[in-house]
Amino acid sequence: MKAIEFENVSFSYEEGGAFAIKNLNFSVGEGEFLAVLGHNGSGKSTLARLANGLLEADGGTIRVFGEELTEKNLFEIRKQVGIVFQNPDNQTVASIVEDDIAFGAENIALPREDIGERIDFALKAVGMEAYRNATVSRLSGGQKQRVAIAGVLAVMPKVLILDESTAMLDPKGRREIIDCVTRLNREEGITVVLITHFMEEALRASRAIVMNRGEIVMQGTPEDIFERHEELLTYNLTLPLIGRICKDLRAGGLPVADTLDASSLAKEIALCVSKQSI
Amino acid sequence: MRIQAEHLSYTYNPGSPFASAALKDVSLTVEEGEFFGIIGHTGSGKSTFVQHLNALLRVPTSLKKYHKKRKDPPSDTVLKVGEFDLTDKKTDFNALRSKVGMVMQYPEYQLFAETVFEDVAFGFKNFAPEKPTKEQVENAVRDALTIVGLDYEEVKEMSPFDLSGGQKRRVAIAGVIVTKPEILVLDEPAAGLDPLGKQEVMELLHRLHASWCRTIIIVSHDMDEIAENCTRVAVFSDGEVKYVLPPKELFTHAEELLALGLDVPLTAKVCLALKQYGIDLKCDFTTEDFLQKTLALAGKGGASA
Repeated sequence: MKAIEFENVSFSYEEGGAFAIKNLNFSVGEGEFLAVLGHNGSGKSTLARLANGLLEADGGTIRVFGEELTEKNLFEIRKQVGIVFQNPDNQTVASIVEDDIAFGAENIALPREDIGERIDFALKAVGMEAYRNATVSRLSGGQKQRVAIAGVLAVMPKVLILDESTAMLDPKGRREIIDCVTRLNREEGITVVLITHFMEEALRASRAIVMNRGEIVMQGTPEDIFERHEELLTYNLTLPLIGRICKDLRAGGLPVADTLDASSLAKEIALCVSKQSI
Repeated sequence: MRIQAEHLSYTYNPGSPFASAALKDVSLTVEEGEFFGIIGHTGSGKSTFVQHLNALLRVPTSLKKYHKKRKDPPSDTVLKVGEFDLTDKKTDFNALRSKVGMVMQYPEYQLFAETVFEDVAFGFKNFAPEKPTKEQVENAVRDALTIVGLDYEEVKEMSPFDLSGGQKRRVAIAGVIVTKPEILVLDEPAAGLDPLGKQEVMELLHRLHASWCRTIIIVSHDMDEIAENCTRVAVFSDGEVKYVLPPKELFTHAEELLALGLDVPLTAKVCLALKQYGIDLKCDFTTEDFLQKTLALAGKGGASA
């Protein structure tokens, strides 16, 4: 089953203006962890906003779990596709954590008892049980962003879209969010679409797409994509630093394999060096 | 201008139940001409410190009275930026602020005017000792937009909100440097930009460092950025300065930094892991040096890197 499907979708912000999304065809499988890469203005966020009907496509068809997105079923579909945005401070509506999380669930008129259960579930899912009655403004950026995710989870969507949700966080906050969505994907089976500028984060995904000028220009596993280094550069993207180092070491004559973390790179280097010196 | 801070402390909401000590007896000197880095996790006091540098936060001016009230021993706080004594309430803070530019986190959120020209001109007009002529304003705005890498004729009449993310940030920076500050302080200058935008901002900072602003101070979470660019780095933790060292010495303390909850550059992580294999790379933690030293280790000379 496809969670989200785009068929020849186009969109422009101004009538007759340049297309932000051009004749786009793509799909996300249920339970998939998809990373969306691309420089500023490449159409990534537009894609996210089209997928849950925040923006209306100018042409083409968008289907969510097989059902075509129309004005009539808009609110039903929005329950299934939740978006977390970039700035945690812009996504807070209440001053107490549990009230903030309840907002979305209250909005879709759930019975009171259910809301309580969903808050429990959402807090647990993001690891913030201890902060149920805390004041949102006193939390760290990573914690606030986890509250934002919990607010989306309380509506129990099947798809979670993160639109650069880690961009404003410090390294610790970023790790918290990425670990949290990885767990949601693996344990709760939630489909995750991660839009990011951090190439390192994309490595967690099972598949990645690269956007440029409103079109998909590359797709494959993150490893495949980072393999095509020269091509990435033409879309104003870079390899993760570790990928660049591996490439440069090989270019210099040290045959290290591509690795994704510091300790395996050290192992590779040690291995190659000991072979060389024999 | 040299920055000299000695025994600087700052408490938010002093004397109330919400009192929290953000800076505790901080002593730090930044020499003229440095490209200085400040790191520390959220809440470590680094922003509180930099906000003192252009008197957004003030050393309590009547120190005697302040400390008497708090029953502290007499203060020996020193805070000087060039000739400006920031502990003296008679200091001309307006003049100070035109010499010490402050670029906040996400400065593009502070854009407000209808055109790029008006936005950049605002600071210049505000700080000018007497009303500047139209020509003076135009020249200043043109220079500022040109040095940040924008085409003056092309963007001057545009709305700043129609620009791309990277361009907006550069307009915001132009609005600060238009007074030609001698010291430029930037809080997370490259955060939230795509990889190319990051690179452009760092190039811009080096261009400014070589021309307009003698001293640059950046606050950053990106350790790779710090390792590649800074002359010295101060590490803040719990309102105290733990280390002030050049990056190549600082990141030999990788284990201690990780224990403080901070990140280290990728190169430092690899060097740390290499020690398990009995390899001590002794690099300065820039990517280039790391590559050279690693290749040299394998007898590849590394000259080609």
